Amino acid sequence: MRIGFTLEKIIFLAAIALLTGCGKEDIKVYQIPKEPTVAKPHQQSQEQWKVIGDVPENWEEKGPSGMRVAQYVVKGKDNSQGEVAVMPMVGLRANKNEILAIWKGQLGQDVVEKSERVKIGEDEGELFDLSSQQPTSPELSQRILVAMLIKDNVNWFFRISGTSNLIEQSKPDFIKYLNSIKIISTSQPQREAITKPNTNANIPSSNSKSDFKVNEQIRMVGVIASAGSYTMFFKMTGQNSAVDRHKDELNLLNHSGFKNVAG
Amino acid sequence: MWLDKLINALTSIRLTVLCLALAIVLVFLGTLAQVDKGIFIVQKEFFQSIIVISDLRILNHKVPIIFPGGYLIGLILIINLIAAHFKRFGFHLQKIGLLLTHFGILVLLVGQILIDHLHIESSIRLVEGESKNYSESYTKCELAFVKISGADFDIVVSIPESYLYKGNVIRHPQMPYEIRINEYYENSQIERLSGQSNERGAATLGIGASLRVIPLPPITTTDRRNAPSAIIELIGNNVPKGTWLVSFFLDDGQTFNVGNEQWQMFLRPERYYKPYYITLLDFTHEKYPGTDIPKNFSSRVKLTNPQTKEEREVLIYMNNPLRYGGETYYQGSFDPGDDRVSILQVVKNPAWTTPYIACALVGFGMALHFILKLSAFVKEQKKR
Repeated sequence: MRIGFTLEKIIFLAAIALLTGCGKEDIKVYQIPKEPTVAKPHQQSQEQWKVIGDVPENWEEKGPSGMRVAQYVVKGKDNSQGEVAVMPMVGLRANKNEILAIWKGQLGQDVVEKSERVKIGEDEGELFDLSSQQPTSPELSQRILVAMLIKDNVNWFFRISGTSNLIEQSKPDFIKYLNSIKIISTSQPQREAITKPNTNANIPSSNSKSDFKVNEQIRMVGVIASAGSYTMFFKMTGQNSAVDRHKDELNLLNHSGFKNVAG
Repeated sequence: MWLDKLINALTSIRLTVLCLALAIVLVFLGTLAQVDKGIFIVQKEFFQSIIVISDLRILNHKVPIIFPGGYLIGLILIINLIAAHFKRFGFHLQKIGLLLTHFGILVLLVGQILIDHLHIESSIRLVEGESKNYSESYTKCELAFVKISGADFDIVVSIPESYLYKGNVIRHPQMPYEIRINEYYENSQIERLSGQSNERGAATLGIGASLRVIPLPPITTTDRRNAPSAIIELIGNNVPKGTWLVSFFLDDGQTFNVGNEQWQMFLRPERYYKPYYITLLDFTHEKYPGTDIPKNFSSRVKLTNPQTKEEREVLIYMNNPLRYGGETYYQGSFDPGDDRVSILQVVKNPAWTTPYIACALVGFGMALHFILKLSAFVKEQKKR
């Protein structure tokens, strides 16, 4: 049995090696094909606006995608490429500085900010000029122009981004584009039923229910209820399955009474 | 010699009985722990570990537990079984049935370790008309940094969740910067700060400047998953100075520049990319009339593989999965809120045959052992 014992020893030592070889997962690196810029079907159905304007010749239309109702690739004289994006946001509660922080973060450190008034279609908005001082070369440093407009409770953002050189060349075209813009609503806006003022304010006179997918797992169901001269917002947020189990409970609001306890 | 003594102990039948008894206790403890910790954590802590260092809640008291883990018990059983054959059973033709049975048990034990390491279960959520070339993990998340290149490809650096803990500094040759994890929330909710609020955002850069993070206790049930968030900081030359919030709730990546390189960051379910695309053409979801009980659901998908120039339509429905590229696509679920959405379950398990082979070997070995013993008994009876 001598050979057997030798084998046993090998197995034993191999098992020890196996026990000590259990490590944690590694960081992985891989290449992926660029994701197509076509809009996702569930986003197309939510599109409500079309933006028309004088588009310069060197802007190539890419079509709507995600939150963007219009986007273009801007081609510079030095073969550099930039991007124009038009994004409407409904019910945004962040203030101007918080929104600008998003784009400042993209530019890196030492960002210089300037602002001026600008005509956007028939309205007046504000144009912010954000430029990065790092790196110092204008061929490499990045710059963003963002025009902001609040119209009909919708925050509109018109953004052009690219190298400092490209944005310097494209700024006149971008302002011309902003001046010529027309925003067309492609769907009928939903309007809340206007109710007569009710001093008792104890019966919900109308409500509308919205169902949003925050992402693939998370969902938000909201009810906007009008009671007399008051508008109330009820929100249910959580995992898809949990919200689905409980969303019908929001219908109980139809049978609830609201009392003005503030006197 | 100490090694010989150890080998004697390892080949003893007492050790076999002890291991089996410990395995029974481990299953019992794991079952109790599952109530509070959930099945995925228990699988990892109790069964896919060498030593269990955990706790149990008994009558509202936390009781610490230190116990041999599933892998340790399994490995000792494997060593015990193999060594016993060399020392005690030997290799005789009369014992071929026994040998086959034990070999079947070995295949089962080794197969389970292989399944633990090679088995990947994920899902693809598709809206009608949508194409995807990746599936997403049910439980694991990744902190992904994507380098946007001018070519047709982007480079992804995927950092597993196990690296995300407070104070950890992550570096990788592909990234021209380091990442410091300032805070990590295993499960969380995020909220937008009110415009009038003086409260500072969770981070100083990106969308996190206008959001707050609410830590939540980890999920222990199987029908929900954790939604992690983290506050991170980039360290290096030419990187934006400040903190970023990355969260499971933020679908869109946050973009930043490092010199003339453009990067995006995401905290998202771990993705498994494939060299082919699955497009959902049509999803049919039938219910029993007058009820919400699903009767039948099927997905008509298009499989497109640019490498092999393959393009074909497949109908996936209950008990009729698509098997392709070493993976099986089952009709997994649907979205009760959107009848255009199909959720396919994707299972990759290269070791899926091992339990079948093991059972066949054990069954055949036992039958053979019985027949050989019976024939020997009959022969002996005849002699008498």
